[in-house]
Amino acid sequence: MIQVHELGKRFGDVKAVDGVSFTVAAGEIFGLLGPNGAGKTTTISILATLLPPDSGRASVCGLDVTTDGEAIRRRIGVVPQEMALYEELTAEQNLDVFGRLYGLKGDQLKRRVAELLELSELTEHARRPVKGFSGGMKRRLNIMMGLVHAPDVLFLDEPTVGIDAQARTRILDLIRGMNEQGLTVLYTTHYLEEAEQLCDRIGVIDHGRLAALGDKEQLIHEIGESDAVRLLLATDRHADLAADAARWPGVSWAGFRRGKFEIQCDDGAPVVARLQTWLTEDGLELDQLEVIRPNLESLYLKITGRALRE
Amino acid sequence: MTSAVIRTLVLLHVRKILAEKSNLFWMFGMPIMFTVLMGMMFGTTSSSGPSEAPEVTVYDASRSAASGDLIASLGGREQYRIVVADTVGSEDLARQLVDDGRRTAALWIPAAFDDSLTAGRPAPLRFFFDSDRASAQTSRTALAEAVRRLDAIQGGRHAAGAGEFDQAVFDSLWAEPRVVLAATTLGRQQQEESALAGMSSGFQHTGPSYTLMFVMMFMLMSVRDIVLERRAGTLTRLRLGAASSTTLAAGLFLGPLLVGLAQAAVLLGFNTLLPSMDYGDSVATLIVVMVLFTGVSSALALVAATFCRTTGQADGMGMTVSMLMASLGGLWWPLEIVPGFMKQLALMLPSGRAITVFHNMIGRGWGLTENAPHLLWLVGALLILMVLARVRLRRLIA
Ligand SMILES: Nc1ncnc2c1ncn2[C@@H]1O[C@H](COP(=O)(O)OP(=O)(O)OP(=O)(O)O)[C@@H](O)[C@H]1O
Ligand SMILES: [Mg+2]
Repeated sequence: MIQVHELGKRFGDVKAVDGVSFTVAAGEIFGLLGPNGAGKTTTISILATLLPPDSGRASVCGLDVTTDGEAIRRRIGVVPQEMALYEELTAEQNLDVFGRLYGLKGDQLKRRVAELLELSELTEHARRPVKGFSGGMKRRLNIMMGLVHAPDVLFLDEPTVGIDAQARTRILDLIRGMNEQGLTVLYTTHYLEEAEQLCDRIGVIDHGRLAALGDKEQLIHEIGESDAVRLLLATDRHADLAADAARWPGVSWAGFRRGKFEIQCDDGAPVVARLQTWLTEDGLELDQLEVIRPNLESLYLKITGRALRE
Repeated sequence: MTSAVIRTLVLLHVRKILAEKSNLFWMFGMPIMFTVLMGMMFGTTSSSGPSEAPEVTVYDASRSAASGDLIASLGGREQYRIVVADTVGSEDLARQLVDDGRRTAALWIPAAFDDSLTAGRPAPLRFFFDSDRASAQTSRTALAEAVRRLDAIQGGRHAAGAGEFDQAVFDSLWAEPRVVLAATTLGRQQQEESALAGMSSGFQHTGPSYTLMFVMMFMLMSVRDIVLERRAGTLTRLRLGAASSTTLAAGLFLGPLLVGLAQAAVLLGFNTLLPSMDYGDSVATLIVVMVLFTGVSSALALVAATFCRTTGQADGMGMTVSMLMASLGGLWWPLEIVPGFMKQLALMLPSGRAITVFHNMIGRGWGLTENAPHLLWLVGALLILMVLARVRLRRLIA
């Protein structure tokens, strides 16, 4: 559905997108994961034919983004990062205007608007000006605005920024629901849990380059299957622990990493048991302990050396 | 498809305006208030002085019954006033008055006028006038009539004196009139008669001028709208939905244009309720000038919007442009009372051109042909601004 090959775009000295390649199959939810300024919005803008690429090729629905802009725009929906809504108009009027823009009219238009209001659970607020809406309601309406003309592909640019967990869950459910109806989704976020929960395949982008690409299991495999036990001792005996722990079975490495003592191992459970024994023998106490199973976070850290939360 | 997109964009603009009730006050309440209040102020000044009919001076060296009769039949009219000078004057003085532009016309009656008439000799009259001025034209026609009348009276006297009608005498008088009018045109092309002369009420200025001002002002206030659209991302949405960026530009131009025309129709309609308010005889001119001016304003707002990044800039720009257009363009006070170079400056602004057309329609009864230079200027400005808006928007929305 979406093919991207060696895509590049620069703004002055900034390489916003730098040789990015990936494909998204029909009916898939593809997650583009990356921190601020990674190039997510730029990539979406190029695919949505709002920005011409400097190099590389990209096609959407089999149409070339540089030459078939008009045809592509009819078949895609775009949900921009900002709330692109008319605040002074009601929810219904907002949807109505964009329905008309895409050539819907009469009963067909009315039905579609009602359907989308229903889907986003905004029916009872349909006649209220958007400026009185909560952040979550606006976000939901913002998504619906990209769907009025029933597109084949939906580009969602960080649709859950700045809303609470409950509202976020509703939005993720909404997207999953639409995907089950056959919609292909390209989804950008810098929330890892979202990508883990929602996406079939994920691309990690940083400084305009695609650092990793694949399905979730594949990516986790890439960073090795080791668990990590992270802890801090109440007293300063970390050096002794490092020397001992390195000799424990299944442990590959022990030492300080990112402010905490970390033991990398095949399996966390026996290591924690060993650790308890070691502590009691010396009468030591723990300050903190956590066992980290490999996930996208560890992948992300490994790739970018930066944590991925805001 | 394209027309559906444009219709939608117009509908969107109307909805946005209606959603904010205070807009109705800006569109209609304010202008009506200004028109009435300012019109009343101008109304008092114009009834004393500037709008009085221009003077036609008569130097009567003969001071006879015949010259008195001639002057009386010249009469006073709406378009000019006959003022007989106290001094005897001279032919040169009469010429001088018109030459200097102090009078639109002047008449000199030589001392021998009455004697020549009585003796049956040709009695010359000297009339100087500025052919470009309506009042001079009218007084000249009136003078010609008065002369014919005097001639006919002479003929009648002669006929009566002979006891019975003597056709030979009449024919000789007919062929060789006794009163000989020598009228000299002193072409003073550059000095047009003020259109204000033909206007009788302050509302005739404030009616159209505040309509123009508030139509333009409201349109420039919407520069902020386009800036907001751009920042909010709705402009991007429109771009995605509209078939082409040309269609989008057309919609963004037409929405404010149509709303502006509706506003103008209401305001111009309201104005006709004011005392002695009408727009002359040419409805076509009224429509053409209003469409052109509103179009120019809409295109100007669109161009201005492409230069603004923040709403603060948009507000500042809108305020500055509309203030300058209104004050320099003669919407606050009539251009007829400002110095020549300011008048020239005003004619470089759409507001100056539009109000001049209105004054010509109201004060002179001019139509499309006479106003053509101004209307064509507005057409040119509209085309240039539309091209500019198109180019700037293409860069803005890709
Ligand atoms: N129009 C532009 N002009 C100049 N630089 C730009 C422009 N758009 C983006 N950039 C730069 O390109 C880089 C990528 O920006 P982009 O908006 O694609 O990142 P992003 O991944 O969407 O970030 P965020 O999570 O903050 O939305 C950034 O360094 C940004 O400053
Ligand atoms: Mg972004």
